[in-house]
Amino acid sequence: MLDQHKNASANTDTDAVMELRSETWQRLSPAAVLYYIVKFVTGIIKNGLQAVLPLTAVVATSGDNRWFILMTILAVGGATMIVGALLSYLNFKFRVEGNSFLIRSGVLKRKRLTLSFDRIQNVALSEPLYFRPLGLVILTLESAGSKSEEANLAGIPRALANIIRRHVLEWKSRTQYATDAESISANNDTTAEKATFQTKELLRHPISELARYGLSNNNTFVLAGIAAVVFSQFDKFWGTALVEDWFDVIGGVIGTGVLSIVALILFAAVIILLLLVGASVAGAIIANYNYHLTYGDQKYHRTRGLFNREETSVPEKKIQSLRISQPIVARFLGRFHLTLQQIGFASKDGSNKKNNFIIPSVRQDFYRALTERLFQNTSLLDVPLNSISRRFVSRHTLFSVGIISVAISLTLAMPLGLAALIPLVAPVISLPVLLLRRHRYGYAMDNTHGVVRSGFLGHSLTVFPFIKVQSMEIIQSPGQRKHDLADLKITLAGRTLTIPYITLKHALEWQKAALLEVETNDAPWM
Amino acid sequence: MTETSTFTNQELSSDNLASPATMNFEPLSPAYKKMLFVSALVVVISVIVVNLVLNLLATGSLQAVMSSFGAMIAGGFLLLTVAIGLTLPNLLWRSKGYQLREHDLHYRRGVIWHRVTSLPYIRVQHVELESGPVERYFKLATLKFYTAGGGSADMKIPGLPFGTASKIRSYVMERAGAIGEGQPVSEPASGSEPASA
Repeated sequence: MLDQHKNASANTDTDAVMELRSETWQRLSPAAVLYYIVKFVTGIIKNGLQAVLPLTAVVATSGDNRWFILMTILAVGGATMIVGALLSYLNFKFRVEGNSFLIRSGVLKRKRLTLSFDRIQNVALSEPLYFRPLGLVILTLESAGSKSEEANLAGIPRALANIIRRHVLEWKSRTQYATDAESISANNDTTAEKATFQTKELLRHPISELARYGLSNNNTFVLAGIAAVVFSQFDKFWGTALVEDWFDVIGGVIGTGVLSIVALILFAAVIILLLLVGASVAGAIIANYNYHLTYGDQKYHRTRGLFNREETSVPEKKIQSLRISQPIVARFLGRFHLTLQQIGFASKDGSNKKNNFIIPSVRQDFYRALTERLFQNTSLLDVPLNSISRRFVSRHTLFSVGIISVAISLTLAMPLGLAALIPLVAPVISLPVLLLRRHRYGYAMDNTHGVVRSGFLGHSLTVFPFIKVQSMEIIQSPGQRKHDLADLKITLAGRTLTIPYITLKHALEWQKAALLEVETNDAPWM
Repeated sequence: MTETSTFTNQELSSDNLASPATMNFEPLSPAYKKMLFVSALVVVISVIVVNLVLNLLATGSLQAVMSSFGAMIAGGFLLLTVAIGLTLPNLLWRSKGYQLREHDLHYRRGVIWHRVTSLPYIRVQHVELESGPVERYFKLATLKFYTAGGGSADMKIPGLPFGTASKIRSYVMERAGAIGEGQPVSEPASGSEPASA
């Protein structure tokens, strides 16, 4: 009975795959137009708000015609958006040929993508609110190469998405079997236990825990930054008048003395802070609603999201490093936020947000157990970390901050006179910051793993196996050469770690240990 | 750790390795020094010519340009530029060097900040051999090594003679393939085919 059922499902699988494999190009569901409209709108909100604001200024200052102008702008914008979304839908075609996806897309800039199954790192499903009644999902094919090699099949039936996912992952596991067989037999006991297909629940977050995450992640600061940008734009057009009006109203109530002005400013600051924290908490709850983490089939699976239900999984083997971070607020709440970092196309600052798999708000025992599971035979979380050299502080106080503030002072000396001495205070102010930064840096290694800690008020700890190292760099400034110090830069797939001002001896030891592990341990790393 | 009895990797395993500076780095081609010198010369000459032409247009006569106070400053600046132009190529050339070992490749660079990058062959995803018009004139090439997940090249070695560059490329690719047999040392992404020598 079960077999029959299996066969039946295998047959429909094959049928669906055969259809994808046929010569005719497949299209998304017409509902994909919705996806493109939403994408366009969110794109504007994320990147283009600055560009839209001057338009609103035009509208605001255009007197009697303002409603007509506003309507025209909205009509033209809306029409462009709908035509663009329609064309995006019409131009998007896909099919499977051999072991590759062929995808054609783009309106003004046509794109033809050939994405072979073995370059696909992960297949993720997400279900936005507007697709839910139609039973459609977005299937994202994440690649190991560059960002331009990623593809979204937005608006395909859930059943088809599942079949594609199964097909690609099965193909991958078949072709990798030869490679993996060796490593499985090498560390028999642990892997065999994991190979059993039982799914084990690791974590399920109630809303209170998500609220804690919203409170304690650093998103409040990010939001504050965005708010500052928006307000600075806003201020130019209406802000001053608005503030003056309000000031009059409040002044009427509490009086206009110096004290009441200070009180007003404090009050405003508290309100803004509360709003930002509220937004961060709301964001955390919306994104992570019903957070559920399981482990099975050697993968971590996660489902989350209120409006957009997201299902992602990361194969354990592909995790390049584990980041355990504890921002300052999380410290008071006794929580840690974990990030499983995957192979990804790193942006310039070395971060790689998209491929990060965040496990929010966990306690110490959870991350210790996870570290144990991910990196067996390492006791790095228990060893005291080495600190970096004190010269880190003196160097940055004297050269980075010092030289700049002296230069500013000198250039301002002519026009400002004595007031030009003010920038010279900068090194004094930066000193405690640098002391704190130095204090947060820490590093330790054993034969097979490394751990690096950094931070300012909070801290984050990255644990990684040396086998995941891609390349290493040792950098020495003239001053560092004099004192046998060096900066060590470790490049992992998708993330770069830098430990500044460590002893050259340690840098060379790390280099030696990491290279030896990479070159002698032939277990698969991606 | 896995067994190391059969594993050899000279230089690194020697414990007298005190600093990256003591590795036996091979120098880049002397032609690279010439190339840097010529490039510097081209820059200096074009600065002088552009300056001269602009001043001529402004004052109208060569004599006026030569006798002006600005010309003296320009002359001093010129001397400084020439001095830097003469010394810098040599310093740059001397600061750079590479070392191939059994299992990894090291590249040293930097006049003030010394940097040594180490790249195990097994992590190399693909190698690009590039040669611009100026490089081609000097029969030189630049080798770019890419690993997974990085947007830009992890290591870039300029100033290699054509022959040496393509020999190193084949050697590294062969090593990457041989060591990583069964590992997905993937083909270069479509659209970024390495330039052929």
